[in-house]
Amino acid sequence: MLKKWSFLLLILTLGISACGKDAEHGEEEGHGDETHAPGVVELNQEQMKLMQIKVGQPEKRRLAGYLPAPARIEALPDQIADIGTLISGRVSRIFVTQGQRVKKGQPLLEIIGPDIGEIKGEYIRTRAALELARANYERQKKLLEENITSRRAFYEAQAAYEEAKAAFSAADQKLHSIGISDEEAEHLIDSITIESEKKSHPERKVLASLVITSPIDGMVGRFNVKLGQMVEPNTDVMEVVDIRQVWVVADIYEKDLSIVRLGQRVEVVTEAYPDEVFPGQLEYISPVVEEETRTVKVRSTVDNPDFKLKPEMFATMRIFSEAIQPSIVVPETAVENDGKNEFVFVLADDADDNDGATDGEAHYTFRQVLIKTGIRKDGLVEVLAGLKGDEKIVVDGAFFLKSELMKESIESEEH
Amino acid sequence: MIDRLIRFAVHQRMLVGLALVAIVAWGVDSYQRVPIDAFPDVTNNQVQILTKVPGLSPVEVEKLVTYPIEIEMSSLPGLVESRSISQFGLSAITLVFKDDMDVYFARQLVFERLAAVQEELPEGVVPEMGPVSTGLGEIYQYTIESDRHTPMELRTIQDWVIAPVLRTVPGVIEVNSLGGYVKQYQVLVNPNKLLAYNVTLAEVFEAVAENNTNAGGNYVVRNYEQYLVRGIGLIQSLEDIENIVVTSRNGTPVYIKDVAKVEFGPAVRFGSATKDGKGETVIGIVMMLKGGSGRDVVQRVKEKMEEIKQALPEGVRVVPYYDRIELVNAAISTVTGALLIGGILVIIVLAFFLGNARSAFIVALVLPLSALMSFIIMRYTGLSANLMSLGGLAIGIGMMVDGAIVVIENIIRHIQEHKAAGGRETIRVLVLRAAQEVGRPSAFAIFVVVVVFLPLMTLTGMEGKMFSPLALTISFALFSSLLLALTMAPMMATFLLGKKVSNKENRLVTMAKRGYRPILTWVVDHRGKALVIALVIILGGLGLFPFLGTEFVPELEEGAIALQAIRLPTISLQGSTEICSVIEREVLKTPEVTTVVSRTGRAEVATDPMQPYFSDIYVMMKPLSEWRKGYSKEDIVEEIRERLEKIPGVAFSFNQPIALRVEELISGVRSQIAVKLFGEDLDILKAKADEIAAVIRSVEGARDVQVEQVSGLGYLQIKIDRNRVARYGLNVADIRDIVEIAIGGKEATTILEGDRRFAALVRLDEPFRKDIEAIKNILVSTPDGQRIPLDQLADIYIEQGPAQVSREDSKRRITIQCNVSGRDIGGFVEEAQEKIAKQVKLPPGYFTTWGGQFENQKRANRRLAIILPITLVLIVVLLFTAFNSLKNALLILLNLPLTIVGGIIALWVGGLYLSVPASVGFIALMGTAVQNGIVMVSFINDMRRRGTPLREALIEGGLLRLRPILMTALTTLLGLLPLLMAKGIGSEVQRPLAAVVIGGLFTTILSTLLLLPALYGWFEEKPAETEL
Repeated sequence: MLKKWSFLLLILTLGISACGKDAEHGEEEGHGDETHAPGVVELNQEQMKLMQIKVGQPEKRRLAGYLPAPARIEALPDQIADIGTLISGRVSRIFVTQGQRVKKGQPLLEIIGPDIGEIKGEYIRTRAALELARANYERQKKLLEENITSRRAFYEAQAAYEEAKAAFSAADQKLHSIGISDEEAEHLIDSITIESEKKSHPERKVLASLVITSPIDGMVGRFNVKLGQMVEPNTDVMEVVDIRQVWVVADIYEKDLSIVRLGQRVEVVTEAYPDEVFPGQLEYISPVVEEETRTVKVRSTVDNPDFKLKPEMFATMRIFSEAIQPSIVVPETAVENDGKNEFVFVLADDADDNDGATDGEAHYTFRQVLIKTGIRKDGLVEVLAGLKGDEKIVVDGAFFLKSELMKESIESEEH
Repeated sequence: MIDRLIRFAVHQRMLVGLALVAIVAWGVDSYQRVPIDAFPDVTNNQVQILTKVPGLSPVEVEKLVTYPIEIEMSSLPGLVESRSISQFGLSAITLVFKDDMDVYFARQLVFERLAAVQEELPEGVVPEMGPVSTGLGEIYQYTIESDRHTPMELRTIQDWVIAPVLRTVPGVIEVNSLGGYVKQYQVLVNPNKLLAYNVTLAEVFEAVAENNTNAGGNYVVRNYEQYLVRGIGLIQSLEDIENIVVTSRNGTPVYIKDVAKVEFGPAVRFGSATKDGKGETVIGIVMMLKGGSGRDVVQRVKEKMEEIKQALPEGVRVVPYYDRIELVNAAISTVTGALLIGGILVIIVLAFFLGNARSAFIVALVLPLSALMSFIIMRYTGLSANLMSLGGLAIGIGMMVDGAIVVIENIIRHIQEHKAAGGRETIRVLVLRAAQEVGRPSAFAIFVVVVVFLPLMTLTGMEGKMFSPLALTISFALFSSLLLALTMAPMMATFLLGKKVSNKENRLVTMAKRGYRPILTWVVDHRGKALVIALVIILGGLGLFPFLGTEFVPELEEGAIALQAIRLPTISLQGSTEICSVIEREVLKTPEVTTVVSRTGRAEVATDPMQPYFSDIYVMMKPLSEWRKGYSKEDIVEEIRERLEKIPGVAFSFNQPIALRVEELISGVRSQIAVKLFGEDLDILKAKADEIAAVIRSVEGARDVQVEQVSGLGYLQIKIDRNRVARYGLNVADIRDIVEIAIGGKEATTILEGDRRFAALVRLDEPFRKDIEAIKNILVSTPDGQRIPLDQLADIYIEQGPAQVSREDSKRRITIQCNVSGRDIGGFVEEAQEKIAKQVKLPPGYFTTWGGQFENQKRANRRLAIILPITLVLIVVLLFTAFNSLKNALLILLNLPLTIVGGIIALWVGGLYLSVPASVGFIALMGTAVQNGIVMVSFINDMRRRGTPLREALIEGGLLRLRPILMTALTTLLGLLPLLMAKGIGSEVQRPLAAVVIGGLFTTILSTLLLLPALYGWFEEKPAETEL
């Protein structure tokens, strides 16, 4: 873009200097007639060089502007797990440390408590009772078919079996509710069997222990536990969190609401990594205004492969409002205003004819053209109306042309 | 009395000789003590009240500061005029007092009133009085340069090393600084971090303000000793500020460094300085106390500067670019050169006519002696030596010798006659007799001239300040010369003029007489025709009168150019400064230019309240001798102007350093005509002023019509919406604080580095306040802890508003300036007034007054219109007392018309304007004409009394008087010739005067030698009993 301009400049400068010799002559003549049309400024090549006035062409392109909004990083709610227990006990072993990456199901810690033992024991006991009741029931059933036993005995066995089933189901539920899976439950029975036979694994003997595993893949975040600590169901033990993706929640002030739409492109920048930009899309705009802050929350999910964005981090969300059509874009230095209107200076066409003309008229005629501007970004301004795009305009030093135009108001000619 | 004086001089000649030696010594001493400056100080008696009001816009400044002070001051005794300018961040009020009022008394009065008005002003706003200085005050200006120091360091050196020392120099009232950057400790707050740590800007501000104190804990006693208790908490470094705790959150301290950047930064500035197109520099301006001696003060400043230079850090240079001494010396040497050459010419003439070197020597001795005596009188009357007062001496040279000539000539005649008669009287007796014989007439002749000059001292205003010193010194000098003629001359004659005095008739005189006789005879015989010829000449001369241009006072040449560059009011200081560099490079292309220094905006002490779109550009030039051949100052100005006009968007006006300053101080109006429109509403004022300007442009002869720039300053308006603010439980005051601290920056405390004091400023970091978008997003904390963007509380937009508000006599005012060419100003003004009355409808409460340079001229003319008749009457009275004959007195008055015509012709030939100095010349001319007339008429009277027939008396009398008349006329003429020819600095003021006198002398000689004898017959008193 810059190159394009400088190339144009080069051409213009060459063209101008080709007839620059008679510049002073032209100036004198130009000065003589005071009847300039309104909004027209004439300059010669020397003047342009003196004040470094540069001419260039507007560009056509899509210009994006953005709204910066203060934002915070949050973890995705389904990618964050509070680790705790549903039963009280003492922490006997810790398998992970803070910041460690864990897989789903990976043991995190082990707790020991009488309640655990009781639940486990209850499970084993009811299970055994169930086995017994079922065996009895099936035997009575067979006997009944063969009319060996009384109907009453069969019903008794059936009732006992149902009872044992219910008791086991309750125990099973309890066991699961403290976080033990079916697999583990099976394992529990096995371990007991093995245990009773082989006494070489003393650690397995501890019925009262409970291993807590990670429910998700992620990273150990908050970590509030030490060995021997008593944990209760409401104790906050640790947190496993997955931040490969994070939420960026920004506050939008009421005044800016009109420019925010779902699906808009956003960029997240942080103080911590000023050079890095995390792209995303607006996926949520809160339906209510937060009373506390008088803001509306908007959200985007952002990929965070290197875990650079951390929950609770402050960030700035740039919400882009993109021009759909490519528009005419000029540098900010080209646009001047007089307090009411904005305008640029367009090189009049006949200046081209003057190039290389023999009469030595080396001055350039610039016309003041009112424009309407749109988005401004990075020193560029979108021109909504007033320019066609193929004009040559003053891109640098427009202020001097404006001054020249309004010179009468400051002039005190003392010839 | 005169006889006794002469007798005393002759008898006590040793005593008189000793007295003369004493006078010489006293005079030399006085000469060294008389304050010396280039020009007379024409500044009016004024007190400036300057009030810095950081950050406020012009209209607010006017409302909150200027108006209350003005009202308070309006009833001050002796106040002549009060005017004010309210600008962004500054209120400048100028109070003009009567000239005879002591300026310190006036300041005392102002000070009392200021104390009374203080409580009406916004908090922290303290009005100060400007330095006791004048238009001549800026006597020495320098830049501080270095290859290895930043502009901020250089400014610190200027403010804290150079300026404080220079202020101690006697006669220096102020050392002003401009350019570079004033160092500040800056706490640049990041609003995002404020949000993160949940602290507010106000808390940061408070923290910085509160944590910079030393505490005194009295003393503790230990046994027989005691110890003072001192708690040390002064901020001493940037780190100290960084480590101030703002608050604590959950037991964790939040430091300043957590929420802000702390660094050295430049204070907001209102002015800058550039030099030679090489960019920013730092300049110092030494201002002299009112009434000081420019030359001596600069001398002392320079001596002090040598001392300071040794204390400067290595690599730092002080380079003066404006040094009043150069101008003083140039002006003084113009006058002294004229004095010297004039003196030599006079002596040559004397030696030639008197044919006697000794007598010429005695007469010539009068010149230095009366000059010295004048210095003695000047010393004790408080008159300063400058171009004008010394000019008085130069003008007076020819007249100063007149008295002595008459006395010495008579002495010589007596000695010769006595020798011829073979008498044996002692020289003393002869001298005494001769001197006493002419004592009274010559005293009378000089008295006439002095009397003629007396009314000039009643001139007021600028012309009075310029020309009354001249009239005074002439009077002093003439009076001294009279005294010397009556005492020194006879005394010296007794020593030097022995018996061998010869008095051969000079051949030139003989030739002149040979030519004179037939003409005189013809004239006496054909007095009717002579009268007609005289009338024709007079009418012809008067016919030239309308062709003479008029001006007030010719511009005094200062040998330097001060040009003002004016841009659009919206321009930034930075933009202005950059353009200045371009201008400087263009100006430097002229080979005569040595240095160009630009002063943009206003200096630290805003004695000249300039906006950033104004620059004063000082162009210093090589001495005249090194200029390109054939180039005059006008050519160079024209060359520079042509080159500068290429720079688009900048208007220029050319002036000179002192003139510029004086104009700014006196009225601020540069043009011949200034229409002042008074009224209330700034928009209506502007609109009506434009209308008036349009009407004036349509009047024939109008030129350079220009309306004062009062609008067009860019404003970023933050219009607080009370409803919206109230919704969040905020007050307007809260928003004001935010605008003030966040955007403008506010000084929280002052940090001491030794005896240097620097402000500590709290402000948002630049990116968060740099443009309208950023400002819209500045967060305001509400009492409920919410953070609301400013945009949601106020309308923020850009518009153009008033650039400054000017007031005069407590009313808002806008000025329309205009010059007139090709017609007389009076008629122009009349026509314009009539047209405006018809075409421009002013709302009630709006009215215009007309002023400007033409006002001065009008006033001067009015005054002269009174002075001239009074002078004439005085002359008649004097003549009547002398001749005791009204006819004789009238006859001598008839000498005047032809004389005046000579002056007019001289002006016309010289292409000079009718101006105040020319008028002074005419007055001087009247004195000489009358003097000559007296000599001629009294001599003819004498002859007639001795019974000589009329025709013979006229012709013989004329022939006998030819020598003294030619001699006095020639001495006067040659004494003035150097002033007429002088090209040096200051010569332009004296030139019209000299031209008038010289031109008039030619016709005076004709008139005296031909017309008076011709007309004598008609005016002779029949019983010739007058005695002189």
